[in-house]
Amino acid sequence: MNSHKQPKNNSLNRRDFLKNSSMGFGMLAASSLFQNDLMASLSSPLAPKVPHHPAKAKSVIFLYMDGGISQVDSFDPKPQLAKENGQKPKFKTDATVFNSNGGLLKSPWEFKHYGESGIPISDLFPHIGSCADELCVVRSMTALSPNHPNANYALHCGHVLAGRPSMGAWFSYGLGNLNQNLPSYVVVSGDLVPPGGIQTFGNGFLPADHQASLIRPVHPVMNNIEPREPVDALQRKKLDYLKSIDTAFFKKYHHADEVETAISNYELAFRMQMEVPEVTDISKESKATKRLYGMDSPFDQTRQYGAQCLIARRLVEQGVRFVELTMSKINGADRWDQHGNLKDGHEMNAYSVDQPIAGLIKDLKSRGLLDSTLIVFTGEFGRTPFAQGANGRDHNPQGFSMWMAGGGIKGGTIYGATDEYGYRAIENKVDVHDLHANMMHLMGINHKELTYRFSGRDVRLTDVHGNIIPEILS
Amino acid sequence: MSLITHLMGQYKRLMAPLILLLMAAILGILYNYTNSLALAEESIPWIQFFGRFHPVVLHLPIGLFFGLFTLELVALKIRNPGVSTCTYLLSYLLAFSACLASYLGLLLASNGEYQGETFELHKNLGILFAIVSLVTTALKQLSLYKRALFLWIYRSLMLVMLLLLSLVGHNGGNLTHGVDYLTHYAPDWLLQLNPLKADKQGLTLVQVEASASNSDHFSMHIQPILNAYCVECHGAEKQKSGYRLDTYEHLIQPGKMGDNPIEDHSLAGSKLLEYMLLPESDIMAMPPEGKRRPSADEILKIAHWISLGAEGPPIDEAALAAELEAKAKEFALLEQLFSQGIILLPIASDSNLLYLDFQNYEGTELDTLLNIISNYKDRIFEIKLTGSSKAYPILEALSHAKALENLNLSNITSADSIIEFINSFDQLKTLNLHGSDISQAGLAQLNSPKLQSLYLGATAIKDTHNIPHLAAVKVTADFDLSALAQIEAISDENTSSFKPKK
Repeated sequence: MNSHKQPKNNSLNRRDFLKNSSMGFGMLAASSLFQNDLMASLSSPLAPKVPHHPAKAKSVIFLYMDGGISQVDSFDPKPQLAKENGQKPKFKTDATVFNSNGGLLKSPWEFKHYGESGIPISDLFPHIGSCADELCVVRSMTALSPNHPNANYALHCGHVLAGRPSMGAWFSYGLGNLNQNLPSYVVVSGDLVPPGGIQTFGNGFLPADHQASLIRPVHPVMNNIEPREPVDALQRKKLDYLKSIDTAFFKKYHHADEVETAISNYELAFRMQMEVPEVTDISKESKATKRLYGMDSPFDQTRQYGAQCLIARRLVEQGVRFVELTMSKINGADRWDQHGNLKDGHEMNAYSVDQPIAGLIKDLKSRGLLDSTLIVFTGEFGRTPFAQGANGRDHNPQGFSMWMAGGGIKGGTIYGATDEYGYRAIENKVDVHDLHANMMHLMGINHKELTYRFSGRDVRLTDVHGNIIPEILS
Repeated sequence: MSLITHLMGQYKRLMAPLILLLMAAILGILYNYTNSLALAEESIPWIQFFGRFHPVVLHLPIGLFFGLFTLELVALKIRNPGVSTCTYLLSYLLAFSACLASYLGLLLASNGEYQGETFELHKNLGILFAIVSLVTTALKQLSLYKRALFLWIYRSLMLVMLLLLSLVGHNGGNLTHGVDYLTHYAPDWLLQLNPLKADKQGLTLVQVEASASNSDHFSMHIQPILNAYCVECHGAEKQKSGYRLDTYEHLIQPGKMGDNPIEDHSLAGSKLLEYMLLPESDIMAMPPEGKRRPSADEILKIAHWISLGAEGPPIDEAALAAELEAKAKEFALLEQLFSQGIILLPIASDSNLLYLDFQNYEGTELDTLLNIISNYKDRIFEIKLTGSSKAYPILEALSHAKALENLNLSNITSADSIIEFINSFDQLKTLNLHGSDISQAGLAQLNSPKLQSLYLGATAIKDTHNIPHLAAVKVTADFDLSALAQIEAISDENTSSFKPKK
């Protein structure tokens, strides 16, 4: 495989030698001659690979807060907004999407200090507040674009345009999977398709093994996963025949990646027939666990997100590298994109995700899995501290809040700051490249070393950017 | 009344030895404590804050010693009660300051940036000096009662201390300023006298060039610059911020900030260059303010070398071939395991330690597979056996694994039967028994010496707060639902404009 990937030159130099000789057994992530030779002999493209450095986390759960949560209403309290409520902003504002900007808008919610760390969190998230000491809140996050699709692509793929591999695909490419009967990158879908569409979860130019598999928290969790053949042997026979034809074709056309991927995908799907129904079956979870995740909530969306979180935990427990959760579409639910009716929309969304997410953190912790699982909670951008219309907020890429918890993250900390209105990040700015670099760092990948040869150059998820932030790492 | 004065007298006489013993005890405690701290600079900043007073405080015992030494010499000739009193006072001050310097030195070294022979020598001799100064002070006190004998031991120990002090001071100076600081400007005839100095550090640039082959640009032109300006703080002895610049191998390895000092072909990506080019006043400038800085020519030399690809010394082709062959062999074995659903692979590319995972194991040929795995037994760092029915034979085959720190046995059955194997893992730090069938009796058997963290959620063990024999272990129980209803009530109250249908 990896026929696109050529080493920089054919003569081994000392640097390559050092990299190779210090490495393990060829099930490696970094680009090197040695690795390519041995990678080819491996039985599965999703075989686990050796990290660059010891990993703090083995899996990522990415909680995508589609639409963009308002930072000044969630994790970044700004008392100045209450003082100047309704007044025209005294600071310079950039153009916004709708440009119907009103006066400054104070937060409709109070903030409380939670935990020993005393992190202030708004009344939207009392459950997450009870986990405050696990969180590292980054208040100086910035986005690369003020538009949903572009900011969303940037958050997922490190680039504002469509077509690049999503970070889940990069993790899969770099680390493989710890379970050979499951895909390495799973999106547990709440059915709300992110702006920009399904390419958000794509493999881009990486081999198609690394694209996301979508599952839903209700039956059938996955389309076409049930075999159509009455007996197993018949299905196996069909698959073997298919494989023999494909392999002949594959050899004839000089080992095309796409064909090889198709072959390995059939095989993975075969193995998934057993594993997927088992791993997504949350009915066996204890009553207490279900209650923890909000599965007894009167609200449909809370139960749905609870099921998504519970499945995410079960996948991570089974060694899946990257799990992403998307928002709900049921009962007219919509993303966190409150250009109007901020209070209603944010309360409804917060009510859906707050308890399940806190449940996920507590459950992982009690199972000893929080130390090896990195949880990331973020939207694609934040919202303006001034109003759009009477009671909404417009997009704000200049500064917003996100948080991380779990494997290798220094819990109970706040990093960076926005100005006194919560509009621009002014201290320790962080962008998506930094986020990706740190996520990779915690998973044992040096973001500068994980490359794929495409379009004539060695491409990284972080392009030429990305800095490790020691202050947020434990 | 007289009894009280008597006791007071006794008490006063006890005070001195008690204080000396107390100082010795603190030294012992700190020695153990800092030994157990590994690379914990950031987490305990106050330790570093105090530690950095070491270079200041250490001058006190040096001055006091020479004061005391001189006074003792004077006292040999002149019998003067004033001089005599001064020697008592100085000897106590000396003991006290020597101990203080040792305490602070231990704290300073706890950040893990100091390593190597010079450091070990400095540390051990420094502690020895503190101990000897305590002993001499005690002898000085005792010499009041048994004058002749103790006085002579005391005087000979003073000579020992003189020797110790020179060695400690010299090694400490080498640590701070670099090995050739003292001898750099020494006349040649003096250098010739020292047979130890004929190592590579003492070679001139011409000699280095002669020893390296012509094609070895790095050893000839680049490493000497790094040796001259950087290695003092980023070398074998001391690794500030975790960076070393004394070999090519270390130049392409990241330190604490996660960046490699040099990136081939990339001037902007090579942090070494960036820090060298910063103005001296900048906080990130290297070498830092006050240290000798490389010339523009020397920086250009490094820049040129990086832009041409930062080629290192030539490689040993034979060693490379042997290395590749050994790796390929090992890989074939691991491939065989992998085909049976067992993951055994290094935890990192530069680590020998291994991660072992039986998640996809199908359950056949266990004996053969365990035979292969047991060859790697002492390199296994982490094992995941979640839900495995084969925990007993696997752990039996791997019992006494020396490097095992993390063992995940969640959801396994017959957990009680394998406690004896668990106890055989000397380095085990984290044990996960979540959802297993461990019983109270089984738990009572658990006695793994280094255990720090134990997961007992969803087991029959309900009272996790009261496990006397595991008092030092952090036990994590099941999640707590007791506060949930309260938080739910708050949550409902806060959603005033939106009421979820009940």
